[in-house]
Amino acid sequence: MSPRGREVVRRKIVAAALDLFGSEGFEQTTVRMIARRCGVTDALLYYYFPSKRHILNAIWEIPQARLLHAVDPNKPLTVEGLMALVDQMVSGSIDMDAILRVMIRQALSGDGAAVAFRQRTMKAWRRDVQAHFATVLPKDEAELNTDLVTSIVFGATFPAMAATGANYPAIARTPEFLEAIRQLVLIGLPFCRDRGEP
Amino acid sequence: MPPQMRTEALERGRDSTRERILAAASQLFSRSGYEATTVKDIARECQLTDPAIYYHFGSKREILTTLLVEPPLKDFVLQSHLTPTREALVDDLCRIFDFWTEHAGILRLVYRHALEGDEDTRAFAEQIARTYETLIMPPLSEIYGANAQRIYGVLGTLLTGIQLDALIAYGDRYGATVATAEFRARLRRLVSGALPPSQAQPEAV
Repeated sequence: MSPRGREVVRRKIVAAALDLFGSEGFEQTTVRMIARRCGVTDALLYYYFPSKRHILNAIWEIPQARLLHAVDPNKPLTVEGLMALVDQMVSGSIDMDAILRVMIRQALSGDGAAVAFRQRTMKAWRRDVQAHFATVLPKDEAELNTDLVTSIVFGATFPAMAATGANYPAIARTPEFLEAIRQLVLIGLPFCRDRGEP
Repeated sequence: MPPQMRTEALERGRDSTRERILAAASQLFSRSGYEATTVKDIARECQLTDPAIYYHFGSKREILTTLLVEPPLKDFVLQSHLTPTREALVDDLCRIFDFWTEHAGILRLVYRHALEGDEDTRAFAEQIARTYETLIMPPLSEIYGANAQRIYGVLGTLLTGIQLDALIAYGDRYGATVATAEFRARLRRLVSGALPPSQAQPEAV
């Protein structure tokens, strides 16, 4: 098989594993289940990944999209711009739904690699968001508002994920869901209140 | 040993075995999840036999529901109940966050199993949410009037986000880390930042 072909199989395995780890949990998922899900034999799977743990580690290597492109980072941030960033964080959580699920379960179980992955991702998101606030706020206020918005979005999306399970993407895409989170940010951030919201 | 003392000693022994089982189960449920943990695993962890476990608990599920006992949050005396000011409320919210530090094991269990859709866990989490509402809405209403409900929504979401973030980031070091001056200052800033100026006060510049 060509290197390209091998890469396709590898991705299929990781995608299947991601799905199963997210719904069944890492412990409960067997290599056989993953193999069956993507229509390969156990033996072929082992050719690509020596163990289940290796597949999990591959998941943490998946590159994550950066946040910045919603809003021009060189223009002063407006409340409208912040709302666009919030929207993008929420859609990020939808795109990463499967990974987030596995990551949170694994991280709470003490899996160091999962924690490291999450810290990397959160650090990147916070840096991006803070850079936007820094266009109009001094450093410590930028930091405070960043901490507030990321905590609020995380605090809103997690219970929704827990309550809706596999339906999360469908629910999270509704205007009501997004509007509810926007409202929390509008009320809870000094940045918004100081600009006359809500 | 007089019969009375013997019975008491036996009861103490029973109680401490129960505690051992609960501690072991809490660890394993958090680490591997409720479904993946077997009674045998729990028995091995506290060096008992399976029958010994069943002597104390009818089932694995019973162990979980015993662990999910609400800590005495209801008995909390809030400063802001007596003096409903924004400052007192900030203090109270930070104290409530602290309170949970002692019961971090339960927190971890609840968040862990929330994602698995466990019914008992969900019911338990809802129970706690109701206790919070009972505690915090009165001073919040005093201070913010009609806006109290919406602000409560912000606080609940914010504190969940901070707590879960810390549980994930710090793992076993959660207790030690949230007790540091640095974390407490951050928590205070966040809670204070999220609370608008009170109705009675002029808008902050």
